[in-house]
Amino acid sequence: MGLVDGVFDHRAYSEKALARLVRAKIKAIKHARTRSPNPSAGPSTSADAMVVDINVEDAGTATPIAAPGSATPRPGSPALRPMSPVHPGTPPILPGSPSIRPTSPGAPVVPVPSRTELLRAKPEFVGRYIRLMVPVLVDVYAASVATQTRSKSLTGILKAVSFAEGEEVNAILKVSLSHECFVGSEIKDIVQGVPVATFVGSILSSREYPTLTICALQLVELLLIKAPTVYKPALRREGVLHEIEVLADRPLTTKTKEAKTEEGSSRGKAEDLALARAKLEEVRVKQEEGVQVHAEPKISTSSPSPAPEPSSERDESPNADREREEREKERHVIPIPVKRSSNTVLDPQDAITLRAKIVRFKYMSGGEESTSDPVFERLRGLLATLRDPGAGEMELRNSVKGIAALFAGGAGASVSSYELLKSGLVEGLLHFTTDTSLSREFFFSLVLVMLTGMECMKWT
Amino acid sequence: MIKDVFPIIRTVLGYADPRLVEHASLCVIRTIESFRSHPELLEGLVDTVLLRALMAAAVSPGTFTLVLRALSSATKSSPKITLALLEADVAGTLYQLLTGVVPPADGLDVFIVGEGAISGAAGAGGLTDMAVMQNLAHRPKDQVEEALSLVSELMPPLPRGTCLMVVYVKLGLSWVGFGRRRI
Repeated sequence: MGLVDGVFDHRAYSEKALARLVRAKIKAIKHARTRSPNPSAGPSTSADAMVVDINVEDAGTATPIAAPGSATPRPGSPALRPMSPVHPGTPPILPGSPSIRPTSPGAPVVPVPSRTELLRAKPEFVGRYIRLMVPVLVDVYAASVATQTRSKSLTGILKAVSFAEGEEVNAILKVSLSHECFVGSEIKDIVQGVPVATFVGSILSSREYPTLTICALQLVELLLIKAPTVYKPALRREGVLHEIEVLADRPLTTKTKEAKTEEGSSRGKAEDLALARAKLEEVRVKQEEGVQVHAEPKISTSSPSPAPEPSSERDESPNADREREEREKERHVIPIPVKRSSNTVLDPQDAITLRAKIVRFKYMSGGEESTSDPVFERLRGLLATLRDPGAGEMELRNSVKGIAALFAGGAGASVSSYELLKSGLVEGLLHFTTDTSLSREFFFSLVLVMLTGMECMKWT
Repeated sequence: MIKDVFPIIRTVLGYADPRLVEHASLCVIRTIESFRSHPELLEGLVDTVLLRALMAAAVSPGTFTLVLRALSSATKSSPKITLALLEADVAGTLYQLLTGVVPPADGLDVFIVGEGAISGAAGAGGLTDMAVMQNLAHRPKDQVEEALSLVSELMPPLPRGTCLMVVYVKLGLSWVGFGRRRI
């Protein structure tokens, strides 16, 4: 639960937070190396634990805001102490939560359950509601073009996925796609439900509105936290992880007033961050070689971090007031009474980039990223056979049959749009069909095989 | 006093005369809106039976939009009313409103795999997402907005410390402001 809390806290997705994560991972790796007798043995788990703890710390830095009807938390609650172990199954218990409502002086205080606790006490009603509404929200998102409608739909989906735990997530979303790539060789029930990976992939690839992109990234992170073994392969197949990589590789463009005035220090900090990441890579490489690394990455923490909120208030001019009034009139999205003192203005694209960087660092920096998608590899193998000038007729025939089988659908593997694009299937088939070295008769027989194969499988 | 009258109003909601039903609905809506900042009083007035009667009342589209808005206010105000709404099968009402079909009896039904772009809720009712789109196109826009607001309010809240993104659009230049907002 603590990990999920941090997903929605924007302060955990800043440059400082990323630098903190990188530093923590470096320290964890070195710590594990100095502790364990075998330098190459298992540093990643303790690094992960450290990252998890840092996540808790980042989540804990946010001042909690009570939802309607929920308990009022007290700051400095023990559940959000830094370095405390995270128990995902246990909701955070905070002192002063639930809120106490004394009925009369001297009378025993009656704790009032929070909204979340009340809803968790009625799983049958809440579960049915969520299972019915999430698919509807996905459809409403797809059917609408108005940003506000889409934003509300996505917020509803986020709430549902955030609330669900364990198998409930799968029950709500019923991810299908090609189950051959799920959980090893286990084939789950093939249920066509909410194609959540495709849904998220379409939002990330369209990039039409920053709020929606950030919500999509939050949804991705929730899925990776709650059921990584189920959703990570699906997200990889649909190109979601690739999109996150692309977003994370974008340069930052934020030039706030404070950053402009302190441009030197910002640049220095960006360089330090790059240096820290380079150091992390170096440590990892040298760890594999069994070499001790002694150098500490230098990340300047002494330089004052820019405080956009108070500075923005100090630097406000009458023009800025007028602009703010105009902004108020033209505000477009979910209604928000924003406290000026807590505002931090950031370019939306930078917010997306930073969030993508942190998601990549947390969930995509492990060695399992090199594991390939079996369908994609199979497709590439078949294409390689088609492109091979020395391939025999039987090999070509089998390759064509194999490609036809992939598109036939049914119980077998299917090809996602991302796989289709990335594998170069269209170019490969075009090259094959325009290859003048093939005899016409053989070519037509292959086309017949392909079409017949697809038709037969369609009707079975 | 109001509490004594509400059972009578609840009965009127089931009458055949559309004018009476319309006025009774407006009465309930205005009462809920008046008491939305007093959750304890609202919980004393609004119960599962009243909510069922209110959602089933045959009112005009404009009044039904006001009903949805009032239910959103009540839900936001009190979690007990949220539970009462869930027990009153608001899920079925909202499902039918947004998709145009009656929901399956059991939310765990296996969706049907079929031709075309069947996704999300479509499989359960045998619809395509095009049918959902057509249903939404025939509904008043503000009714769909209010229904989505109600759906969002009925959902469990996001974790503490959630900060929503605030997007300000000014002269084509988009800026994101981080604000604290209760959800």
